[in-house]
Amino acid sequence: MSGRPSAAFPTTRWTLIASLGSPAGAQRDEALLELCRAYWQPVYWFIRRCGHPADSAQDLAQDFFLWLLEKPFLERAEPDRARFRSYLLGGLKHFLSDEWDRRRALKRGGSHLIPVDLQDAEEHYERSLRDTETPETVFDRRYALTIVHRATGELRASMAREGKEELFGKLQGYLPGGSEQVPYAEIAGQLGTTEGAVRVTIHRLRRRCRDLIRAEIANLVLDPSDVDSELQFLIQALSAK
Amino acid sequence: MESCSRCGAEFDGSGEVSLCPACVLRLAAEPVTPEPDGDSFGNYEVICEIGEGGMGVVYLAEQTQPIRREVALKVLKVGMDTRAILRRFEAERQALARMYHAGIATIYDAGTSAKGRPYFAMEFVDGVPLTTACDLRGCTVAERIALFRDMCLAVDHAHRRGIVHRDLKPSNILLTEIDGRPATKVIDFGIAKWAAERLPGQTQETAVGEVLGTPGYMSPEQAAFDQRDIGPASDIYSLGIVLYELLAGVLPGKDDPPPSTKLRQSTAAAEIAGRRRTNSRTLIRVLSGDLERVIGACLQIEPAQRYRSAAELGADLDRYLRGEPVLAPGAQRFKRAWRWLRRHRGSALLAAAACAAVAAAIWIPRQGERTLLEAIPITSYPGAEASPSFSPDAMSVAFAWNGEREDNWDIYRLRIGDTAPQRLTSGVEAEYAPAWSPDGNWIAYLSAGDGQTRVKIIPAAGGSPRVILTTQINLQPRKRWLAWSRDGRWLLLAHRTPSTPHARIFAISASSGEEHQVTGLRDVSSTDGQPAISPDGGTLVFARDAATPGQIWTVPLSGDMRPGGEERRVPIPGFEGVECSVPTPLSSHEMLMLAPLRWVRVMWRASLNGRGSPRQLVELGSNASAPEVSRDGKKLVYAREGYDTNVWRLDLDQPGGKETARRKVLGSTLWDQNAALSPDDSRLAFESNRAGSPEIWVADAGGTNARQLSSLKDLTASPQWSPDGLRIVFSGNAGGLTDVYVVQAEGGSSVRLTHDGRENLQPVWSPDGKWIYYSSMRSGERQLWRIPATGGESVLITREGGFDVAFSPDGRWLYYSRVRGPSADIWRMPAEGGGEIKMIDNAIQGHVFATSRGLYFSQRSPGSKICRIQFLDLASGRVRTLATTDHLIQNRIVVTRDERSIYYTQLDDDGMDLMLVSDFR
Repeated sequence: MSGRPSAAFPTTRWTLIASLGSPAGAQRDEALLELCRAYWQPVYWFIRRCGHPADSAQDLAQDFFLWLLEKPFLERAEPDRARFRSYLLGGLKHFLSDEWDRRRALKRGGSHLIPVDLQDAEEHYERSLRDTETPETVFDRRYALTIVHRATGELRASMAREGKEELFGKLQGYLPGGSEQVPYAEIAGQLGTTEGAVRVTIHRLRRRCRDLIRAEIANLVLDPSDVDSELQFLIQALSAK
Repeated sequence: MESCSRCGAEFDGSGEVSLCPACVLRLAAEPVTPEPDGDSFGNYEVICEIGEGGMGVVYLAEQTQPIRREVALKVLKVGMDTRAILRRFEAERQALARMYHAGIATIYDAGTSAKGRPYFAMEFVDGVPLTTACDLRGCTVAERIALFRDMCLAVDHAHRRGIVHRDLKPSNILLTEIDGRPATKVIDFGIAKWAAERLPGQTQETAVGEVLGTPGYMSPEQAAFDQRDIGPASDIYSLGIVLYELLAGVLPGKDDPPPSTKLRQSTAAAEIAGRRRTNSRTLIRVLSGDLERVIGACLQIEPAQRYRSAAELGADLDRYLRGEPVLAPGAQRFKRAWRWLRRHRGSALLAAAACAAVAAAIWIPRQGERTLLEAIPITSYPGAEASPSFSPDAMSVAFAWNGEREDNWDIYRLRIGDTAPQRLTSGVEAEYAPAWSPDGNWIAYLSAGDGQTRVKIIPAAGGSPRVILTTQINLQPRKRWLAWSRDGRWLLLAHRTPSTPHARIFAISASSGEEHQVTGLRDVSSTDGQPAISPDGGTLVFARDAATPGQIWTVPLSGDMRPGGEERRVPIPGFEGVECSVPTPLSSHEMLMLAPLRWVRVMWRASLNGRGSPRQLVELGSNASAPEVSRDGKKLVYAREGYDTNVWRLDLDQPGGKETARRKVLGSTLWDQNAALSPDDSRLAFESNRAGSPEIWVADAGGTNARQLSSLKDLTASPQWSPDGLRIVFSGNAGGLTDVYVVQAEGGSSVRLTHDGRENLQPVWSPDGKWIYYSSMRSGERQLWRIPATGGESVLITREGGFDVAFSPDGRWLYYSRVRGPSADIWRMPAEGGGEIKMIDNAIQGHVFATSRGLYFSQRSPGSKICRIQFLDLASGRVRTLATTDHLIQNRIVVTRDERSIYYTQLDDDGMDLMLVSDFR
């Protein structure tokens, strides 16, 4: 089963939305809404970094998604539609700068499209905020993190579906960026298997993880050949201090 | 915040998955598989290293062409004459490829890497060394023995094909799971010899510890590099050491006593016993009896004194598990073996160290080796040759043959070695079941016609027959019915008379034709047959079908062929409920008999007094009948029914058009049948018994790259692909229950969908992938049912009978058959339910293949084997013959999407030939 992303993930493709284009249809809206649900945190962090307090940042974020869904699709941010990341950020900047849209949106306020855990988002935001960051770098970093979290979360969920949650718990530290330094022989002893078998399992996990990340990114860019450049961009976004 | 130990980046590690996100992204940016050392291996992409040994490195790799699958890639160390090795590997690849056994990891391929390193690609086994696995699972002694016993059968399978392992040790015997059950797999079979190639020129230190792996498991002859004797016996020695370790938890080591003594002295005995879920006293007691004798028999110094085969070792362990005494051939010498071990283990190690080269040739079975007896056909005429009987000097056989036109059974005699037989009878009756008289002058036989069967005698040199007796019974030609008394005055015949409604054995005077009943004078309900008289003439042995069929009975005989005492059932330990037949007494206390071992018929040597378990002599295949041993015991003759089905492909110039080519796609000498095309037409799933048991296999559409998929070790049939081509559904028989199973097309465990075992046959997937339709006897009649493809409740579809279900490509129609006599009619109904209409009369088997253009099916010409592949054009309603075959078409036919190729199964050999085993004893 190695390397085959589960059929349930991800369900929404930027490529699909972009190709559905204008005029807005129910299908496009639903798909876009689902992407927004997955990627609301980068938006929230950007707005916070622009100086809005937590409460109004949440309202603004919700209004932004409403605005995004209401606007004819290709009219907005057309040059940026090759990547969902650019589209989202371009749209957000546009929204925040467009007083008229914003006023109108705020008037309607309180209509929350995206269910969010504000407290959790605030905690993460506060904890990982760095002084030197601009709203854009905060947005990019959070966007990259969201991709990683979605992929690793799916990796964990897929292991759980196979009844291997415990195994995943034991082995996740061996994935890239994990902290585990215990020798394979020792973990083999704990799991009642051989070093070779542990090695194989870990490599399968790594490969599945790799495939999930690439699949997620491939769903957020229009041109499949952009996956690698997008990956490099995201690595930079995470590495920047 | 945490900081990554690798890249130094800070990250929030409080989430469910605590990984440095930058490193995770970097992983995704890496190429899939960095080739090790910048080397590359043809169609194999290395995934990761899984082990390193003396031979080289083992990688988990993915084969990319022609199919994607995981393999273990064993890359040998450089420094060998690669070209010579590969040339020899090519020559012997076939031998290796003949090892089809669920208990042996298959070797697929060999090649050279870009950097010139030789490698082997073999089945990847996700398992743990047997000893470790048993300790981790806390297996009991009995569980360990059962696993070890299974592994013995796998080793025997290879030995029978002339392949010796040479490096059997726990790390080459892995415990894995097959169909959800723990099972052993032997890896590296036939590889050690190639690794041995590099020994010349290597230092001794490297040679010993690495290449030959483990002197601790090596036989004395291997250690002493006596090349001639590196045969199966060497592997049996290694098996003995593995068994020692598996049971006692330690290796014999230097200067060590038998396992029980060793354990008694050990401080770790309690811990070792604990891992076997027992205490040390019990473990010592268990080990000190028969098990020590079994291990001792493996560890004999002289190869000839060990078990003669791994199967024999396995059978002895079976005996132990059943609570019967073991045979342990070297039993009286086992003490000597221990003494030898004590004295010589040190020198065996030294000898290994001095070992310069190990025999490289595949071990060639010596003639006369009991387990490797070879049967050769002595007749292969058209039609069927049956029920052979030796002349007293065993130079000729009499037999029945239904003639070149396969229309009339007559008696023939043939001098062994000659090609043309002499015809003895020529009547219009069916003449069969010859029995040669002890003086060689007469042949008695049965002649059936006009509703009567006559016992006749004819001069063996030819002449006029004489009728001895007329009976009403209709007797089948394939069984043994007649036997002569040793003095030639009497004939014994199993038949019915008005006073005996069940068959009994009667003695008939060869001169007067008078008869009297010999068996079943008291018993009223059983059926007796297959008489045979012991060499001293004092005992009649016969087969009896009573509450359980296939019992063997004896009765003492007086001089005038009257029962001289009580009838007695022969107790055959381990064969209760097993159908035993054709008993042949060798003396007053021993006999040969035919009895099945799973799907194979085996000749056994058994005691007439119930002493010990029967010993396996020779496998006669799955379709053997009427074996007879010559009077001197040196030859065995039997009839073997051929059943060679092959899958053929017929190409057409256009859909429904003219034939352009015809060729055999799957053509082993065994069953290859009932092929199904994958949705993209690139692969075939089919039934085959080339690995022994009939299993589901897959191959490329051209017939190459055949690979076993199921391993139920029982009858499996009718594979069909899922619409997405990822899974295969089939019907499988386990323990007499036939159910629907699903397996991933790439391999893995088979999952059972139905659970009632009521002959659930011929499953097919609905085109939308949601349902599996199949036929079942669940309701008492054969009807179509369907079950959700993911499992659940089955629902009845037909009411008036249904079999051989097929779908129209759009899923709107169901086609199915109703069996009527020897053929079937084909019906159609809407898949959603509704009225049924008959589409075709008299199809073979009743299976159709439906396309949007029409229906493909087969029909047989009345009274002959000639079959036609037919096409019913749905537009015109007309039937066209696309091809004619001169052999019977069996099972279904399938058609490619472009309707230019048709795959069908043909019964290419259904004859019966006589087989001779010389050197039988």
